[in-house]
Amino acid sequence: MQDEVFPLRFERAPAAVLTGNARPVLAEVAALAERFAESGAGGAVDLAAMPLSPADVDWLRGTLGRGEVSAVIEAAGASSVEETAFAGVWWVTHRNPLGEVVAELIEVAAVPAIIAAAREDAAAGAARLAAIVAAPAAEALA
Amino acid sequence: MNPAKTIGERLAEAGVSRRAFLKFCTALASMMALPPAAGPAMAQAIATRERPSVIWLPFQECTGCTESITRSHTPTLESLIFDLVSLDYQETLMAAAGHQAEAVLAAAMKENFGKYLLIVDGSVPLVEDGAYSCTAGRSNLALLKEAAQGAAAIICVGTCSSYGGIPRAAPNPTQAVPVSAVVKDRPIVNVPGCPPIPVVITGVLAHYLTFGNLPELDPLGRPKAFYGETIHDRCYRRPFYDQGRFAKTFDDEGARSGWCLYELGCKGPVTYNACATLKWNAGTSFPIQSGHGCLGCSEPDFWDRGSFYRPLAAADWGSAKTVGAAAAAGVALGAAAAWAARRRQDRFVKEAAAPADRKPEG
Repeated sequence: MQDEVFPLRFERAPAAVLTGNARPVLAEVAALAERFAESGAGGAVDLAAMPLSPADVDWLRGTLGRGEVSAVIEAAGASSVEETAFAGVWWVTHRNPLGEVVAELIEVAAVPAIIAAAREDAAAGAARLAAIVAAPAAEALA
Repeated sequence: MNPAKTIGERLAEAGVSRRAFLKFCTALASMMALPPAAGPAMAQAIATRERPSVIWLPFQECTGCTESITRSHTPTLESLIFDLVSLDYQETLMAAAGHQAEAVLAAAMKENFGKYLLIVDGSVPLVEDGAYSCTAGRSNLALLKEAAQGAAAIICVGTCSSYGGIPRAAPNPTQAVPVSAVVKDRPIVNVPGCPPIPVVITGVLAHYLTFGNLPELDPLGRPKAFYGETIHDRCYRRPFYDQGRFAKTFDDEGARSGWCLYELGCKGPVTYNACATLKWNAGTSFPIQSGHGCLGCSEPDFWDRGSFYRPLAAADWGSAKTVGAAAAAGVALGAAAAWAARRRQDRFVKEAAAPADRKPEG
């Protein structure tokens, strides 16, 4: 230890600090959940909208817990959608192809928007399917 | 290329699903500090737009701004947005060189006259008719004057083109000036920073694509979406400032505990930028999270404002009234953060209420 040139000590990483900003976010989610339960109108909270330390995010994630559904959407990188222990409250993480988080939200809805198929994509898919149906039987079976 | 082709058609051609595009727009909305509901609205709007032509001119600069963008941490966002626009000239990135490159520039300016977006990084030297910085035998000054004539708008990338930056620092031997000192009759958006955060540039382009106009600007010409709040307002160390807990040296207990760096010269309270929220290097960190105060690199004359390590004097706080007042009144962070969140909402509601402004220019 005497040979140590730079006696750096990392007793407590600054990132491990709870700032107190997570609780207001949770209150916002609670209000959305209440509104969704009453009227069916959901919403979302962008986790980049508040200055949160990594410890704050961990606290939120831990407090919300995990529910019955989880899904991964492979669209320009993996997006994960996980229902929390509170039905209709979803933790949505969007990642790019390198696996880096590009957006993180708590969405309150029956089903998060990213899951639903878009009409434009469905139209292209329907056209492709129709072409297969219209193809000669032998080819279609091959 | 068919000029009538919309971005939506282009996306379908490239095999980008609407889910991928919705995700892209959700990330953009988050970066632009719009409420989450803006993501789907943006996806709808951008898909029906035509691709604008973009011409990028580098002047008296260090290429750090281009490095910042090409080394950016979200390559898919940047590559997607640059695929959505038609980047017709960027001399550092383009394959063409010499007369061929200059011919491309001339053709792009003629073909899209009045419609192209002009991006400039670097300041413009005035002394000796601008002889200190030339491209293909022409001074930056002459080129800027010509290119500005046909530009729908000019986006100044970096502190140099926005405010003169380091080339303009005392004693300023080349008489460097910002673009706004040369061009007076075109809309100019300043995206300062040394370098600026790459996604901020993408965000300005995305705003142009979404709403067909330029984002709302502050008195220094910066988009309020990214420069609307100080580093201090959005800093995760702000609670320590409110509690009066300050690091006194770079290796004391306070520094190790992640306390506020105000007394070590942090310029966060008077610096408007998005580093504290968007961060750098794959979202890893920003200067304050790495233990060093903010230098204030996105502010005019940041290089000539005395030592980076001298604590801000009370007099320097003039431009940060909200923070000063909040601190003086002893208002807790929670209230300040709620105020910031409310402002985000207000801005979006205002923009949404003015759909008539959303027509594409030109």
